[in-house]
Amino acid sequence: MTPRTHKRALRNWINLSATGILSAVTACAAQPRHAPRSPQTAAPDVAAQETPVGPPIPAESSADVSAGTPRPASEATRAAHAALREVYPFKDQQDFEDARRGLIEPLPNDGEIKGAAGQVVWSLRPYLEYIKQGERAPETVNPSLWRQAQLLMINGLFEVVPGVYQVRGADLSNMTFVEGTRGVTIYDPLVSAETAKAALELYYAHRPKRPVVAVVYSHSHVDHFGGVRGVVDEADVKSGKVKIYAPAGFIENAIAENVYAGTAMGRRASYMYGNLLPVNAQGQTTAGLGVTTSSGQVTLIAPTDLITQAEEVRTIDGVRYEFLNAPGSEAPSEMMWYLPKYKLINTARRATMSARCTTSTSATSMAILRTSTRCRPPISRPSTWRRSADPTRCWRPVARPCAKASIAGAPR
Amino acid sequence: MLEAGRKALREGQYRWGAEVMKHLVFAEPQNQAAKNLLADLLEQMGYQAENGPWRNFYLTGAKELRDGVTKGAPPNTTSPDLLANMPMELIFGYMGIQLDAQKAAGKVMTLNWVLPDVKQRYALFLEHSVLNFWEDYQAKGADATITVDRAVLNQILGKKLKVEEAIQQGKLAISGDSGKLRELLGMLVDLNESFWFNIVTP
Repeated sequence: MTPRTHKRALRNWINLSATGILSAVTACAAQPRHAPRSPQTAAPDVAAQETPVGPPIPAESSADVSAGTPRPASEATRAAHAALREVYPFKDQQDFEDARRGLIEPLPNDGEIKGAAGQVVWSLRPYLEYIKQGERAPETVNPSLWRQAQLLMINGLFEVVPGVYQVRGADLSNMTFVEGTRGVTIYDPLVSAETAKAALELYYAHRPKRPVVAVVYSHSHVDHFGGVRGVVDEADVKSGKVKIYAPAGFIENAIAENVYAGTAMGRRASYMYGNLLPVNAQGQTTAGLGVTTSSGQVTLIAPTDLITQAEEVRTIDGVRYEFLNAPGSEAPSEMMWYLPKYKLINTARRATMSARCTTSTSATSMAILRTSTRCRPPISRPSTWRRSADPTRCWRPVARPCAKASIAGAPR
Repeated sequence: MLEAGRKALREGQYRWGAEVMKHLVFAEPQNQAAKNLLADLLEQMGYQAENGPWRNFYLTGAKELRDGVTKGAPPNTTSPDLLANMPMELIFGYMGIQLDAQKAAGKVMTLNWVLPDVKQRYALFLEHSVLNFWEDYQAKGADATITVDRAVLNQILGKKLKVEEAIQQGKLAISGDSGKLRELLGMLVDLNESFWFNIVTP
């Protein structure tokens, strides 16, 4: 009947990853290995290494025999990449500095996270094995995408500002921790319970073990709520000990989008995330917006508090939040918020660092805010952000001078 | 056409070559040489793509052309949370999407639903191969009335409990024509059985 199919569909969307065939959308397959790694080492100047690697492949040699197997990069492809190196400022290492800023500890064991049955639901290992910091892009990978993949390999627990922490690289999305008066508030608990739990454990390994008192879902996509049961107990939500905040229309959209079009969306996701491809220089080079998606248990606890106004101020665990609804943006139900206390803006997916490598419809978003954790004042409304036709859902700019703003949120 | 595709590949005109070759691939689905050539064209576009999803689209397309679609088991994972949070409106709406119009052709049916634990009632109508429902309504002269707690329905929908078992255990009651529920379920298609549909091949 209805239910199982829809559930599956959603799973698919989420899960079809590297293991490929079985689960629909996103998973990581990896073999255990214990080699230590140091992804945080400084990246040498990539642009300095301009000489091509290996002998050029004559265009003719690859042209006329289609062997039905992966081919090397053609002359035209190598020329296109060389041209790109002339255009983009690859010498600028600022993003690498920003991405490493505040690192407390990388994810243990190459980010490998297992499920209850011992199955690997997430691992960075196959990526870390070939996407090395400071190395020039292979000829079969666009240099800009390669750079983005290198940035995505910088993983672990980070301090955004004192009192605000983030785990990056433990799933497609990032999970944020904000310390308040009674405990900790979590933003966007990843795709699956296993990865969210591992992220919380990493946080507790370095910060006081205070209770999770609130969760904020920034939008209705599964990588921003699916792991909620890994970080809170539903009984505590029912008893009122834990509050869950979400934008208006969250539940309807979280489910409807993945049910009605679930099968097609899942199949599409198998293409988008490259879950059927090998993880190598002729196959998957991350998904751009994030590494890929985890394949653990997808959970959902309904929100207790909806943000329904265009602008709404709330106090969560003693911290003032200025919410701004952004429905119909990257997700049908979505919001952003500003924390005066930390001078921190969370833009959900509305602005990311990785626009060019991330989205095929980038016109409405990003590319303007190039900062992740550095100050780039003022944060005003980029002209490309749109207004909703419905005045009650109108996006209104946060016109505040920002002496020192931080942008946390979904993938850099 | 193959020659035009090869020329485009030699000259690095991948987008044009793919435009030409896709027509040949769809005109001659058995032409593996055409598929391999299109795969080579898509692959170079994948290598050049700055956008991660685009790269994955092109390279997965190339793989489909070379190897065909590997049809794994249709995804069969369950998430009880999502199911439990799915309003009946969505469940009935999705049943409407799953309804096989040909199997339902000419069938007329009215089912009343009573969900005591959540205090909800619905009437579900099948006519003209379309499902409609009214909330908080019970149709007079319905073919059958199904009484089941939403919590039990979640178990059934999550395949943790069969309809027959629920009836035996007294968790689901059908009054009226008890065959109608099974008849309706028989008209629904499991869309995920078709999950691995072709994308870049006919």
